[in-house]
Amino acid sequence: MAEEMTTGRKGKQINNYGKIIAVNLKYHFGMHLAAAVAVFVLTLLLFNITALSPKAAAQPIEFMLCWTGMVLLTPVFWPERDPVIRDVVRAKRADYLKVCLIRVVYSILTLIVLNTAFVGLMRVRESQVSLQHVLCAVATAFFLGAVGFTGSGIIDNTVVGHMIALMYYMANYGLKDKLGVFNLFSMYMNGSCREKWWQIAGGIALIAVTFVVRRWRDTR
Amino acid sequence: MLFVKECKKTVFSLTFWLYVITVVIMYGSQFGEVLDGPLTPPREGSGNYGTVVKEEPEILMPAAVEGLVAEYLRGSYIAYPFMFYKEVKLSADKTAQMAGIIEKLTGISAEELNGFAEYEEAGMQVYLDENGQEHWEYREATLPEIHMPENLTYERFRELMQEADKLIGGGSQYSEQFLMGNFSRIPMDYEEALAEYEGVVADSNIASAYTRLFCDYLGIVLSVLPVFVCVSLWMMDRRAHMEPLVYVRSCSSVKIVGTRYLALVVCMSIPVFLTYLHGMWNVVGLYPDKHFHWGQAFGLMALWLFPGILIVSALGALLSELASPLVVIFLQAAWWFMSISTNRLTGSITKWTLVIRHNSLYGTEVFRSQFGNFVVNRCAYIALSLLCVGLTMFLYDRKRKGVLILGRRNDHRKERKANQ
Repeated sequence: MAEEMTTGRKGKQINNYGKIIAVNLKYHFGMHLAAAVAVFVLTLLLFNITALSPKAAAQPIEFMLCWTGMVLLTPVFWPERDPVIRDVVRAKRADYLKVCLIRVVYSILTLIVLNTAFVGLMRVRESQVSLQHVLCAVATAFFLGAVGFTGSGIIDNTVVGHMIALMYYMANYGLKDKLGVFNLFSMYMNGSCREKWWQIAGGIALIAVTFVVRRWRDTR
Repeated sequence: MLFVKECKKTVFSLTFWLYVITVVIMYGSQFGEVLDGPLTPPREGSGNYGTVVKEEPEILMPAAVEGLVAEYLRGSYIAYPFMFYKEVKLSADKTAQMAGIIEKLTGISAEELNGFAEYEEAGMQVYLDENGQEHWEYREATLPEIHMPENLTYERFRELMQEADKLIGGGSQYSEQFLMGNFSRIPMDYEEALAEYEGVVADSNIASAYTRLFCDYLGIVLSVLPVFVCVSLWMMDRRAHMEPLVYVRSCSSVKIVGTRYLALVVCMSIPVFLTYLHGMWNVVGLYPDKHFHWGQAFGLMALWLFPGILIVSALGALLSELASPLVVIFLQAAWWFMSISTNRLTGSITKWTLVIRHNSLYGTEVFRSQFGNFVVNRCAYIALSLLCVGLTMFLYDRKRKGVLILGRRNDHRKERKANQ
């Protein structure tokens, strides 16, 4: 059984995807990871995270740390921005969209790690944070990243994806009441975590729609 | 003609239209509310004419000291170090230092302060009248009796306030930035309110007042969105593999880069100019009897907003030649966010503020007091943008000649040496 896993058809597939993950992490993830870490550090520099009340603790998370989602998820399609390279990649046996899905998965995992680490750091600094803040941080970043991912995936332009994500972020300042459950700053404004579940669901829906549209476009 | 070609490339790009949509939405949703009706004069006898900040030590000192004592007893301090509200709780060591500052301000020792058990926070409280009906009234905080030492000078008071602000981490109510606004606000009387209103609607100022508010709103988006249009345009040659074809043309790098930059700036300025015209047309409709000083107002708008477009586009172009577009976008967005976060809504114009704010039709004197900073700021950004464009031309030329190949320079050198 173990031998079949490594030498059989399935085993070869697993090895291939393992190589795909390794190559993507080595060549395509470094810059985005660096940007996410830069957002992490910038949030620490701009916001005091010591001894904050639960509501005040939501502020750095929702106003700045959410950008980790934008810098990690929006550029998933960036390596194949050149149509020539994309055609070469799509000619390969490995499904291109599965590769993109792998990128989405490891980007989300990184997002979870960074946001959890930030909340953990706030707890060490005696801020009144809980698992709710972890949920808040991950959900907000994930949703903002999903907005950028969708813009980038459907328009086929990562710069536009970033622009759409930033426009949505800016809209939260002026239109917060009108955005309802998709208001990024809901925990800071209302002290409520309920909206974050909607944002997670919304992010998943956006990512799914993006893949469906791209699959449809590829098979046309 | 190259300029027309570059304009077409800009105008037919999706990022440009997203930029236009955002400018229009910002104008409509924020400035549009102001155009619902003209400013109305204050009504005599209404009793509430707003407040004005005046440096009156007899009012400022007791109010600030009471505020500090109240926050000490509450155990947390309100601060706005980066515009956002936060409550700061001090460590035991800093709390002891704060008690020392309060002792210097009031003569009340740390033991007396910590032993004061009757503290109650200020707030609204309900009481029943003789008929059993509920009424709400504001109750002041319950504090120990405070008598400031007679030998406490105003200068020493300001120093102690600075020390308190430093302990809290900056941006507190006792900082230089907020002290007067928080504790030295005096209610305006009818004559003062009327004078302020007449100052705003005077023929010489009304256009400028509305222009300031227009620029305040538009400046927010113009300090970041042009970078997307710029990067998108700069990436077009790379994306279409046109660089080798463009490089061999006889057209100089100065002309190529200069024309592209000029096309960008001109195209992005058009929606700003059109929304401004629309806004001011509506303002004229609100005040049909006024004689507007349009030259002054237009000059203010141009000096306020166009340097923002210039510097963001120039920096975008320069960094696009040096690094990945994603790095450019990230850096510009970070700079924009830091500028937005550190600005107050009015009265915080410094020599390096990227996003200049003045979110009020009033406050003419406040703006005038910082006009020097405003002019230096905008001229500095115009100069910096020209420098960035010059550097971009230089880098573009180096790349064109094959002297500067970013990321592969060492390989290129090795290849040349091997071929020699």
